[in-house]
Amino acid sequence: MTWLQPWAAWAFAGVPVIVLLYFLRLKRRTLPVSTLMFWQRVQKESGRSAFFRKFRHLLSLLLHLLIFVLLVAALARPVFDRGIRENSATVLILDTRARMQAVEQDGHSRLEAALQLAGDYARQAGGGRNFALLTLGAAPEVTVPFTDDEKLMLGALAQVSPTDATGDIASAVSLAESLLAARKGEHRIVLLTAGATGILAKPASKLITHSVGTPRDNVAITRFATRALPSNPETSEVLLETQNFGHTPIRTDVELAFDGRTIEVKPLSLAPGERRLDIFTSVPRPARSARGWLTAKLSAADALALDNIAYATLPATKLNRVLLVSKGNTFLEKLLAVDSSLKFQFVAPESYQPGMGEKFEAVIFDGAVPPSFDLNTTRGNFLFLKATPFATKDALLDQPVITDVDATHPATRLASLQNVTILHAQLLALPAPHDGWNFSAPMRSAEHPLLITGERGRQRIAALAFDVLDSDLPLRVAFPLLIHGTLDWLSGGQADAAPSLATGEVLALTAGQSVAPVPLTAAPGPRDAQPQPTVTGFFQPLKNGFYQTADADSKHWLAVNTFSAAESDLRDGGEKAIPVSKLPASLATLHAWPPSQWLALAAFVLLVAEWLLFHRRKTE
Amino acid sequence: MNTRASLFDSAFLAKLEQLHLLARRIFRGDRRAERKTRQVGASLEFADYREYTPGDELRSIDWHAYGRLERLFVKLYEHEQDLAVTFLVDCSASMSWLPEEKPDALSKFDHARRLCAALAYIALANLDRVNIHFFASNSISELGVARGKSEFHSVLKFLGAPPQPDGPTRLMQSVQSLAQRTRRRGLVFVLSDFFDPHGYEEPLGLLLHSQFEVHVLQVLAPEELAPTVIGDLSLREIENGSVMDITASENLLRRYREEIAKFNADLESYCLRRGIASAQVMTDTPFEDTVLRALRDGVMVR
Repeated sequence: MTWLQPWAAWAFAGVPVIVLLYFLRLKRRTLPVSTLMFWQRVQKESGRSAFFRKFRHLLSLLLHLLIFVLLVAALARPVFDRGIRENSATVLILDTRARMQAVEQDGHSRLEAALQLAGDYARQAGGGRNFALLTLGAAPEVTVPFTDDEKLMLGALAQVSPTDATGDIASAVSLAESLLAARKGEHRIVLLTAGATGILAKPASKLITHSVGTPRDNVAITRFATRALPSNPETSEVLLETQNFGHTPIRTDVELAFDGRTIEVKPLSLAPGERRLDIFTSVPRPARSARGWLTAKLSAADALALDNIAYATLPATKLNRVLLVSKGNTFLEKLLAVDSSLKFQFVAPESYQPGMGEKFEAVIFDGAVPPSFDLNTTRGNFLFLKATPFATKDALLDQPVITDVDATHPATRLASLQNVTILHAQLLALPAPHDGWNFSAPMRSAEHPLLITGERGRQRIAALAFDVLDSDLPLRVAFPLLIHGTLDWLSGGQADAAPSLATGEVLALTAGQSVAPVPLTAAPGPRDAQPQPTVTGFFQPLKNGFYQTADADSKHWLAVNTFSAAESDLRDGGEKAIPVSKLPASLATLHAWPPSQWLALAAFVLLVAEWLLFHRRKTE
Repeated sequence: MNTRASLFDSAFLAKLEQLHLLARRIFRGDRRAERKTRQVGASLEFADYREYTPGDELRSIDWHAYGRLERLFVKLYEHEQDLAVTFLVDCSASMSWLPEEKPDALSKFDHARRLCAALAYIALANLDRVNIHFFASNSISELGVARGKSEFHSVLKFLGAPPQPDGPTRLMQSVQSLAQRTRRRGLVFVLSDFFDPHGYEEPLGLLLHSQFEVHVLQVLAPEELAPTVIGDLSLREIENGSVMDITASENLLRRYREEIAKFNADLESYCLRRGIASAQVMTDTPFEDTVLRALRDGVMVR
């Protein structure tokens, strides 16, 4: 047994006062009567209860003392320690991932149920029982370090809010284990979650899992992306993936809105478990003045609302200035001329002056590397064709075959380069990272790189190992896609992809780049126009929406979405995910009366009994 | 509320007059002031005949009867004499007891004196001989014989200056003293609470044995019949100062009420068996109601 408020023992100093009052009360009140004759007869007749009368006052005193002791004991708030021993340490892991926002049949969210349970645990803090609170959002976070302060725990729980992120429950348990490793006494981890789908290694500490919530049907947007169409610069292509995580077919409408204005509504029918892809090709690219917000919203009302809406930014129209340094390349010149996203100038190699490249987003050196070029000192973004800074003095590659193409690299992502015939190519050496440069080879012929890309901060460089005129590449569709993608990547864009981030994903911001920490989901109002604190260094969004990033030159919008089937799939939530361990006896009675209230009740019963025995007056 | 100072005030005297008138109305045509005795006397009221015996006065012979029957009969007349009414008023300490919560109320002794005054007034108005004795452990003081309404002021004076109530009730000694000193028998009113630890049977029996016609008026306070005080008490008897510690519970009070009710019932039963007229008088009952009820019940006057 633990006394949560042992200072109440000082009240026992009042025992002598009770005894003193008792003896004072024993001074009987003198009452004159006309005769004692009848009183004496009555006393004589009631000889059977003489024994009780003899101890009547002693019993009264004992009752008073017992009532007083019970009240003091109740004030000291005793707690049975069958389940919690002295100096026990408990880590509460509170799941705040997106799934905890799911609303149950009773109208309360799973997080509310978990918070209620967590509050019940937190009220046991004190008397050697230490609690720590971990919140599991995108990553586990120590919200409250070990403390026995009940109010601190309850205050922290009141501040907990759900995130839109997905996270790893095993990492939270691992962190809890680390925290408990330094503690003495009994260890316990209490996991409050909605379906622990993570594969949990059995922790060394006792793990009590409370799985709140019940299996629910849900329909979600699991992917929403936009990209520019190189073939049609005026429009964007939008990919929408929806999935029915329910047991019944569902019909819903998806509404596409551009900068808050609805541009298309499309009905969707999803069978149970069906995943569906929809592509919208007629979405206009935003003008310079537009924000470029694109939102997709499902009209279905289900358990989890946050995955019914998705955010994306449309790739802004950008006119790249390109300088072509060449002795003449018909195919390349024609290609650059017809690409409406480009504005190119042509100069002969002998007319090229150092420093010209800084005025253009990209400079193409066709067949020549200027003598003044130095990878470390020359400013600008460069594409080298045939003659490259990475060429070795070894023999040329004869008729190399393109064997590996990095489909994820922005330069080669859209180009189909298989079966391209190349007469011969320079033998390039992929440099090792140095001086801040990182290099990769998105196109290879066996072990020989045919395309090398390098990146240092915002400076980029690409080198193609062969002359396009020595191949049939200009005759293929891949040629404009390769050149367009490479130039777009050189000019700082992510090819045609719009910037987006998964909720909880960490974005490393470059020097001078900052992000407003509060997302917007609707058009900014007057309050949003107020200056907001910004995040620099690393940015981890925990809510879905549009975040404004800013650097020295421009501002952009960053779309953040959950897009997690694990968070949206609520069918396996609830008790089925992890068997719920039974609570220890002391914790199982959290909702029952604590011992202090039982003691107070006993004192009250004794008080009533004392009144009935000694002070009751019948009305006959 | 009446107080001691106003025990025999003008309002009280007015009530006595009303009581007297009421008494007259009740006994109209029955008996007046004169009390007939079983003795044959020389009054004008014919009583009976008896045969003439030598020595009888010749004038008492009924010659009309002799003419009809030719036998000598003597006419007998009722002997009329006044009635001796004696009041024994208990002035022991128990009679002056007052409940704590009513210190200004009339005590049993006050109430007994008022009753005594009322009954004495009626008796004096009927030309009876009235005597009053205060007694406690013995007969303390005596009024002396009074006759006629003109003596009522001396009655009031005597009742208004009683001896200090003190000592225990000893009815037997008072009765013995009365029986020894009083040659003329008559009515005896005993006004007491009868809280005599030695009992009431022997003194009342002695009065009957001494040819007195006894009337008992038991004066009690309602607080004596049903005390309400609860808790740890030290009871001090007002007569002898003895102390008794009790813890008054509801159960104990109930048994006390049963005990005193049994005592009163025994007293009433005893009086009934011995032909003693008895009445219980509560101090919270107006004395005139008590007197009228007693008159109507034929208790006080025969």
